[in-house]
Order: sequence, then C-alpha cells, then structure tokens
Amino acid sequence: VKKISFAVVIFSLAFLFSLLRLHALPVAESQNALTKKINPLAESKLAQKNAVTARPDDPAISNFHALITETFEGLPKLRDLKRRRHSDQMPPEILRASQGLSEIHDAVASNPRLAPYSFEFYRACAQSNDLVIPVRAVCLRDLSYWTARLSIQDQPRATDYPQDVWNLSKTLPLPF
Amino acid sequence: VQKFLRINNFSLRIGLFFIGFVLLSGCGSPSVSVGFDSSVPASQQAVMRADFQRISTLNITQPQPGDAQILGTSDLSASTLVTWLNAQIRVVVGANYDWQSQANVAGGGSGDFTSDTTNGDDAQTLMLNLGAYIYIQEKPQNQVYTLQTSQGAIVDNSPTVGLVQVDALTDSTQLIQGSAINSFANQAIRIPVYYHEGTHDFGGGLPHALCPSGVYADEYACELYSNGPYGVEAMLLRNLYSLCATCTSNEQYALSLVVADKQSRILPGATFVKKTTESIQ
Repeated sequence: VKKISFAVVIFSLAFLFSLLRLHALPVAESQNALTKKINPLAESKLAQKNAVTARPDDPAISNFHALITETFEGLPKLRDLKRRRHSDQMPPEILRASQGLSEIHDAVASNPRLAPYSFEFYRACAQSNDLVIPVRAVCLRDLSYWTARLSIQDQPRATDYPQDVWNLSKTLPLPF
Repeated sequence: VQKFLRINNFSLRIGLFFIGFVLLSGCGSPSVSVGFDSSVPASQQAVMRADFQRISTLNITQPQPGDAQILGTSDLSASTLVTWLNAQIRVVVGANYDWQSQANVAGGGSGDFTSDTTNGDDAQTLMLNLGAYIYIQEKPQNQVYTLQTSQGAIVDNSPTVGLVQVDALTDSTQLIQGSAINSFANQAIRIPVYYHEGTHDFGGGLPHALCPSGVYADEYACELYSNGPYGVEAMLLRNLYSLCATCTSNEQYALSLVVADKQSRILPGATFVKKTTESIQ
C-alpha cells in the first residue's frame, strides 16, 4: 500500500508540474510577442523551406536578428504621430526610419543568406496597423523586391495586405 | 606699326572669344530668378539659392510616360523646370513676414482679415503659397490686396502672383540624418516642394483636401487631384530618386519614404485637373 501511495503522490506531482508548465508558457509567449512575431529563427517558414543551414549561434544571423528587432521597435507608431498636427510636413520620425530600413537592405545585399530572415520583418512591418502607411509600403516594396530578385516562390500576395499599402508599394521606385 | 597691329588683332580675337563664351554659357544654362524679401534669413537664402542652382543642372533622362503632363509641360529638362519655376514663383518671404500688416486694400485702407484657416490649421509648414492663400480669402469679398516686399509691391489679384513664404523647409528636422544640408538627397527632398507651391498658382489655388485617415487624419493635407501639388511633388521626387544612384543607402531610403508619404496623400479616385488661371478683375 505504501509503494502504491508513493507512486500516486509522485504521479500527481508530475501531473501538477506539467499543468503549471502548460499555463506558464502562454504568459511568457505574450511577453515576447513582438520579438517572436519577427523572430525569423523561430518562425520563418521560408527559412525552413530554403533549408538555411545557419546555426542559431551564427553571429551574422544573431546580429541581423538584433538589427531587425531594434529597427521594428523603432519604427514610427501611428498613435504617436497622430497626437500632433503636421500639415504639409512629414513627421521627422518617418524620415529617421530610413536608417534601420537601409541597414537591413544593406545587410541582405551583402549577405543574401540573410534574406529569408528579413522576410518576417518585412511582412510584420507591412501588415502592422500600428505603423504608418508610408513605412509599411516601403517594407512591402522591399519584400517584393527581394523575393523577386532571389526567385523565391512565396511572393507577396495582394490579399495578404491592405489595399492602400499594396497600391502605394507599387508606385515606389525600386532600390538600386 | 605692323607689330603693333598684330598684337592688337590678337587681343581683339581673344576679347571676342571671351565675350562669345560668356554669352553662350549664359544661354546654355538658364537660371532660376526668384527674388528674396529681406525677411528671409541669409542662411536660408543660401540653401535655397543652391537648390535653384541644382535645378538648372538637373538631367532627368528617363521620366515615366505622363510625368511631364503632371507638371503641365512637354518634358522635364532643366530648362523647362527653370522656366516653369520662374513663371510660378517670383518672390519668397520669410517665416517672420507679417503679411497682414503688409497688406493694403486697393484703393486705400488696410486689409480686414479674419482668422481663416483655409490652409488647414496652425501647424508649422515647410512653405506656403501666400499669394494663393490670400487670394482664397479675398475672393469672396471681391477685394484685392497689395503686399509690400523688399522686392517691390505685389498686387495679389490672382493665385498666380508667385508669392511664397518659406518656413521649416531648411530646418534640421527636415534633413536626412548624416547627410549635408546641400547634399543631392536633401536637395531632392526640397526641390519638389518649390514645385508643390508653384502648383497652388493654378485654378482657385488647388487647396488641399481633408485626409480621412492615417497620420494626417482630419487635416487639410491630402489631395483630390493626381496632378495637384502633392502629385507634382511625388512625381518629381521619383525622378530625382532615379538620379540618386550614388547616394548612400540611408539617403535612398529617406527619399523612398518621402515619395511614399507624398504619394499616400493623393486620395483614391483622384482626378486629373485642368490647370487654369483666374483673377479678380
């Protein structure tokens, strides 16, 4: 009886522990939602499709991941810019977004192996309602540019993006 | 005597060659002849003069079909761009120019201005087509105001008088980070603004429309015309971007973002407007 009772206690503890882990996971996930949303290492299906051989500890990829995370967080938010009146002036925050976007472009241009990792960034940027339309359109332009240039089958589709963002992206000049 | 005549003949030839060279180089590169009121700070004048100089050397070789029609010209050559600007902008006044105190009603008396906000709001602007702005106010009253500037008096009986006010155009906030104020990229952002303001000369000033959503929601910062001020600005930006192949990547992205911003202000269903001129007789 003692052995059976001991086994029941151990089994119960193990069950409780597994329950706790299952409940704790979504909390941790929600805290890192933004990071995970653009975490190409974790989520890029394209990266898997293209059988990217890079290891997670590859410094080029971890540096690039840091760059796209930092850039995404620094992109101008619609709610912040709507607090002011602008008239014909473009908010300087939009102009400053050029820094991170150009660094991402340059990194991919000099190391095309990073391209699949940039796609999640571009998608998240172009689809985010929190960001301003001009920035979203430039992100979508870059996604279209790189997927076409690298002959990626998974090209952006109009149905995946708001019409104004899609249409605007098509009017923009391509990167050099 | 023969030696003296030979020397003089030689001097005469050199002199004639020099005069011919000066005349021909003057004919070959037309320049922007916009005047500045004394209210424009010297530093701002210098930046704008450099921009005007740049316009006279632009070589837009491959505009898209229909681009010149957006401006209302047959091409986008430097001489065409200079001629267009000289016709649409004549005098620039500074941000501190108090146009209400400088205005007189034709026939005597000072202008009775209301605090009209036709331009949209009290937000700081890059530039303002002051002539068109005042015209919109005076038109319902059928009155014509005359404005005093250091370049002479301007009778504001039409939006085409070419009086513009420069404000935040050359502010550091409008510059691409890490790029000199007179870099090609920064000039490529400013130059289309002159053409934006010049386009307000047409029709009844082609005023902006309310933006329904986005950053500029409920502001008069959008447009119902594909060839209006924002349409012209976006078109020129695209063409200047094409000349920016040797710009830094950061500059190229800054230009792309400005193109996107200006293009995004043209509302869906925008139409091609016939650019007419009008005046108060």
